[in-house]
Amino acid sequence: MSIVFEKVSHCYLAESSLAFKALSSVSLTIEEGSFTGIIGHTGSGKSTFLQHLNGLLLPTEGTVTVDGLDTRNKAQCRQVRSRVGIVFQYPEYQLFEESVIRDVMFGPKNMGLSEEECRSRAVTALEQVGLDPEHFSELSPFDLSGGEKRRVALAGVLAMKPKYLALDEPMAGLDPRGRKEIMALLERFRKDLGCTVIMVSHSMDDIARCADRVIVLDRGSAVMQGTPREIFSREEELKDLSLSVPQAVTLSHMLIRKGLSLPSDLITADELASALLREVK
Amino acid sequence: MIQISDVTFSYEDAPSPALSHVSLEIRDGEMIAVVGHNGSGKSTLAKCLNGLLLPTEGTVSVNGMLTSDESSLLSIRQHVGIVFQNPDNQLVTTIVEEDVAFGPENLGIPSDEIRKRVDSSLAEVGMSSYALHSSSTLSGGQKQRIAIAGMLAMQPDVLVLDEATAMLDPQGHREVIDIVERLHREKGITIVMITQHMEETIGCDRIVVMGGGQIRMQGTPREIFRRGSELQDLGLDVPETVWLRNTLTSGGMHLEGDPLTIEETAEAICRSFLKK
Amino acid sequence: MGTKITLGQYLPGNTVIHKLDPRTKIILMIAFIVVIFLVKRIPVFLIPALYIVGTLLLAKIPVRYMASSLKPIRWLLLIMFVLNLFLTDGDTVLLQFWIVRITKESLRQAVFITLRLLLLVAGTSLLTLTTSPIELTDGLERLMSPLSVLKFPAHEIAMMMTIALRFIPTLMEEVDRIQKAQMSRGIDFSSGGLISRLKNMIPILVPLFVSSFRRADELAVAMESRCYHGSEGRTRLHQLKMQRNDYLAFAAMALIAAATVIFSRILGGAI
Repeated sequence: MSIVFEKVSHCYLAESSLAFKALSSVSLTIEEGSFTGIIGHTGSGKSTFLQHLNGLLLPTEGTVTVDGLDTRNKAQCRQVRSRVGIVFQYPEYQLFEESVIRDVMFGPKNMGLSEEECRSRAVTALEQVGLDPEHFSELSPFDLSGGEKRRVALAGVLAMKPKYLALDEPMAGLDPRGRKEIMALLERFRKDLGCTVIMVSHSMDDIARCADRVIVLDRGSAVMQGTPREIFSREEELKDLSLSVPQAVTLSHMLIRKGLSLPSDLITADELASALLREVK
Repeated sequence: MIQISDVTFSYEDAPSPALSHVSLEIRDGEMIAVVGHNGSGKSTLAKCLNGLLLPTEGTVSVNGMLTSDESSLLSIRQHVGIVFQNPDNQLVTTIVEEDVAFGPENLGIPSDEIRKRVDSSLAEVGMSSYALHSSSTLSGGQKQRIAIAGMLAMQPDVLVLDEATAMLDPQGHREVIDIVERLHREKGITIVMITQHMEETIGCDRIVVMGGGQIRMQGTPREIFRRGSELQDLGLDVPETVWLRNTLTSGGMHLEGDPLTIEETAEAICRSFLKK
Repeated sequence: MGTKITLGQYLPGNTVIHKLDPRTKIILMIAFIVVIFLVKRIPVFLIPALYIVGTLLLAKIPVRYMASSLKPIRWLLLIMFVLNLFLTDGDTVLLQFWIVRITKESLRQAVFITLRLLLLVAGTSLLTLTTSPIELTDGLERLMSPLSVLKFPAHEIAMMMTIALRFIPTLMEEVDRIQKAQMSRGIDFSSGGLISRLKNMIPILVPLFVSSFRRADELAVAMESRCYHGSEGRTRLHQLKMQRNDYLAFAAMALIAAATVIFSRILGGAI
């Protein structure tokens, strides 16, 4: 089962003179169980792409199917919404209920589940994001710290038990500790819950660390697809798209040019460190 | 020169003070980074620098003027410009050049002088061709550059960046940092960079590390990054190059010269291999 | 996103009309309204009509653009016409069936009122067509500033308008973002009865209010650190200065008003 984009184009304001093609003929497959990183500079169509995953936007050409369900079909789209959870940038700004637990229950309730079921899902989701339900349930979401708010918002999406979890810059604006926590959470969702993760990020280092597949968008087209190793080995091409590579890649390429014998496909600082230490011994 | 003497600040109904007994001197022409986790008090400190917040105890003085003296506030704010985090919430008017003019207008500068300042400030941040654009069509990085231009038009000696790059994409981030470094280098403007990006602090003269409303460490980047585990305890990180250096050293490799930047690190690693 | 032509939406340009002082244009608009009400005979409407066409030509705005921008009020015009046609009394019956009675007088009245309304809307939209909202705010502030002696907050109102204009696009984006986030959480905005639709607004309105307050707070801090302290001692980048063309425009309007009065007199009598 997978999310399949087939020749998907999306044109904003299609009928007017301001028509703007944000996606053009994108074909790709997001396999179940994968961790896909989406990179591209601002305006490359990342956000339009993301909104196609659960039918918030519909392709003006081509089709998007989630486990075979077509997003353009209204009835199927409802199912798609509960399978694909999207966490937007700065999701803490979507909180609105008077208590944390009610906010997390909002999604499940919209799915028509019973009160008890909603509550138990919410409690589980809060545990999954590392917030103690005992302590946090009855607090107002507006009294929490920035990092806690973000995790409540994340729990709100998790409570819908999505098979696919798409996140737009989930670490933006957090301090180093907060970033690490969210990163660890995503890894855990994938391992423990079997969630397929799709993450848009500007941080090449984060992508190198967790993604097993990378899609590079540029001006609405998917210009590169592959494993992080494949993608980040094409440093020059990425530079042409005004994208960077992880620091570890830059550094290891520098070392190779200086005559050190290192594998050319190191992408994280960890890998580089152990390769160097192996060389020394 | 900004002199912060034994400043304590408590927000209303907060259980503990946001700043407690902080003393710090920011010298003219210095480029200083203030780092700390969320809620460490660094933004509160920024707001004390130009009298947006007045210390509950202690004093802040800017070029000899106390922020507690209401009659010097305008002058202090003209000397100390702050660029804030959210690009959308600090531009006041729709048209770019009018926004840049906002500060000088408040200072009562004559119109033709405002015109000159607006033009030169926009040129300084490379946004001259956008003078008549609507700010809503600009990218985050461009908006922050306009915000910087708005400060420059007041001709400050100190520019405070209160996490001004936190919401930007890598490109916007680079644009802003490049401009700030150039202003520091070429115009001698004192820079106070409040940030969580440890990479940004490498080029600074001094790093001040905050935690729990207090200054926990202070020193040159090299001095601070040697204390990686202490940084981690404060919820911070060292730049990746420093992490790599530490890992290699503890793995038995010998790296000379305390490298910080990527180039320095590559150089040091090569030298270490050549010696073998 | 609307791509339809909206009545009176600013059309940027660099013409004589665009360059007039906003204060002039506001005063001209008020004068124009007076002129319209000075018209007592249908043929005299030709004068304000020519004024509109002339201004459009000078401002290089296609007359067709103006015509299509008036489309939204066509039903209003029609209703005005029909109401006046049927409800005005008169002696010279033109047509009569059942309870409907159309007289020569009622037909005249209907045409007169409709023309008046049409010209009124078209003429006043000239102001917003050729003046950016910011200039308009500026002009209003300065026109109203003598009132500040009477404690009328002219500057504060203008500043509020400036900020509102600046934040409209930002808040529109915000609404879109929140709406999409809540749709991703399964809320359905497109179905359900009135009550459930209203209830569905809450998950949008609450975050919107919360974030607006946060924005207001941050903006206030940013304004304060940029030395904002009210209108006292404040100068402006763009000084408004009346120039030759402004005086020319006033003179033209005075002539138009005089002509309107004179022609209405000459034609005399009832409408």
